Amino acid sequence: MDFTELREAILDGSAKQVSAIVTSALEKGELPEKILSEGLIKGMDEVGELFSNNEIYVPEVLISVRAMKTGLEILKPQLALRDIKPVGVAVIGTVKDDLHDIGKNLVAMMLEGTGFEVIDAGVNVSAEQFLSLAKEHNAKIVCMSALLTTTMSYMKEVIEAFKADGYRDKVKIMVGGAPLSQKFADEIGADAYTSDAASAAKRALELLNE
Amino acid sequence: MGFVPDYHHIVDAASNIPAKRVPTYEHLIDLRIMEDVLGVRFREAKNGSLEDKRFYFKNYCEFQRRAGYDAVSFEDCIGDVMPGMGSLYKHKEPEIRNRADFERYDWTAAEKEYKKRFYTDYEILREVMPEGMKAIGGPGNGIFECIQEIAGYENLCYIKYDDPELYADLFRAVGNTNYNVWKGFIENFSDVFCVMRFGDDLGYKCNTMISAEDIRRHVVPQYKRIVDMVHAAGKKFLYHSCGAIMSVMEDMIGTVGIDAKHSNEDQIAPYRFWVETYGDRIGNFGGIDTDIVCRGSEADVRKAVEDVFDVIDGHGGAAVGTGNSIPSYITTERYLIFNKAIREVRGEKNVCYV
Repeated sequence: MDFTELREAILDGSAKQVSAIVTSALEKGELPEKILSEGLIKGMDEVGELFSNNEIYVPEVLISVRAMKTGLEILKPQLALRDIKPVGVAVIGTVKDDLHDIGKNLVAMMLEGTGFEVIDAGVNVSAEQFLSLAKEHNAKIVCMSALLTTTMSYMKEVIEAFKADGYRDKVKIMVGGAPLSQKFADEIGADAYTSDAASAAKRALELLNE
Repeated sequence: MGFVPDYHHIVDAASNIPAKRVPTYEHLIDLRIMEDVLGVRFREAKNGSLEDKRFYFKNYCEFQRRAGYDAVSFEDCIGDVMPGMGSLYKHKEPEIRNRADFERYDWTAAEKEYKKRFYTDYEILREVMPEGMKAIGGPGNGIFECIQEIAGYENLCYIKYDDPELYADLFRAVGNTNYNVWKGFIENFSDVFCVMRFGDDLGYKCNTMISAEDIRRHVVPQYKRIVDMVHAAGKKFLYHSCGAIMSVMEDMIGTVGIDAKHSNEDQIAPYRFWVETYGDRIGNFGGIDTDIVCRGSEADVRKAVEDVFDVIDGHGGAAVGTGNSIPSYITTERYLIFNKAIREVRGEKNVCYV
């Protein structure tokens, strides 16, 4: 089956169409993991690419994610039956004392669109919470967000907490947010910094394979 | 003798004319810093009796005079009086999700509540304004922030696709609310303000929060109605927006007619970019990234200030301060290092805070 139509429906953000195509593909005996990887995830890849190139805006990404999630919900029972796992688990949160969440939510959505299971810790997340969630869910990726120039310093404390616990080598730690830079990420010992949500999802996938 | 303010300097900066003394400017300064500098605790007094309010505004203005500002930066925000507000910063569930919510919403309430709650502030501000100073600001929050207060950002994005007519109506309705608030404000308090402004963050690190096309269609016409009113009152308009809004800057300058712009973040584009790109047409307020004030050494701060003064040299109107604001997480000590650096570099001798 050609999944062009499904990818286009994702790009258009048409949840209704995605639902119809996914249902029909399953009825025709298409493998759920193929529908997921060739249709939904590839569609979201294209959305991410357009977003990174500033060719589309956040609202377009949000409706694409919504459409993708509609398809994913239909596929989930079939994927479970066939014991198909997500590409990985990512824990994400806005660091302690910071309540901003638009950027963090967008990264979470893009990660889901890339095939991750996302554990969203919310805002004002402490080092202990990041660590315990990463352990509990056996996460390979930990993403920290900050909008404030002071709260971003807390990211270092989170990384130190992972080190102190002997868990640093078990996860890749990614950081992002308005005041951050690659230089800052290097200084605090993060594994990656990305400037936008789509690049974050792409980089997370690369880190899984490093 | 302490600092002697002259609001004409900030009017010059907003008119894109190099001021005789480069004014210093902040959008907001945390009240704790003001209290530390004055040695007076006054922040709770704003919501008290008339006497309390007088005490509040006297100290609020006195701080700005002592800290070397030519104008008192002040705003009361429209978003705060919108029924069901709280989706922008307080994580409240959106008040308007669909057409029925929109129809049910009391669109006249904010204007009435603004008068009721805030007009006394402006009256007292007029009464206690130090000699040589006027205010810069006015009703805070632009259309986009006000919409987010009641519809939330993510929800607004979904509305755009699920009900485009409702999306357009939201901008129109909030635009009318803001227009009416501004109309009343200008009719009553023009004399108190030398430059008028609102802040409406349209951008984030990489782009605008909604498409440039949507901003042109839904935001720009609403801005223009207000800025036209400001100009008709003989005042200059300062526009504050964070983020990468370059794709709509020509619309802000050419169509809306802003006179000056504030907010710059080094991670998006340094102050030099704004000055060199738009400085031939508008005044540029700000300059030093808040992060430098927050985390840089004294030498870093001094260098950043000197760099900004180099940038503005020969580039029209400018008022120097942070690219954003002085938030609660900047210590008083750091603020004073920064403030002193600006005042010394602009040529003030024996900077003091009396």
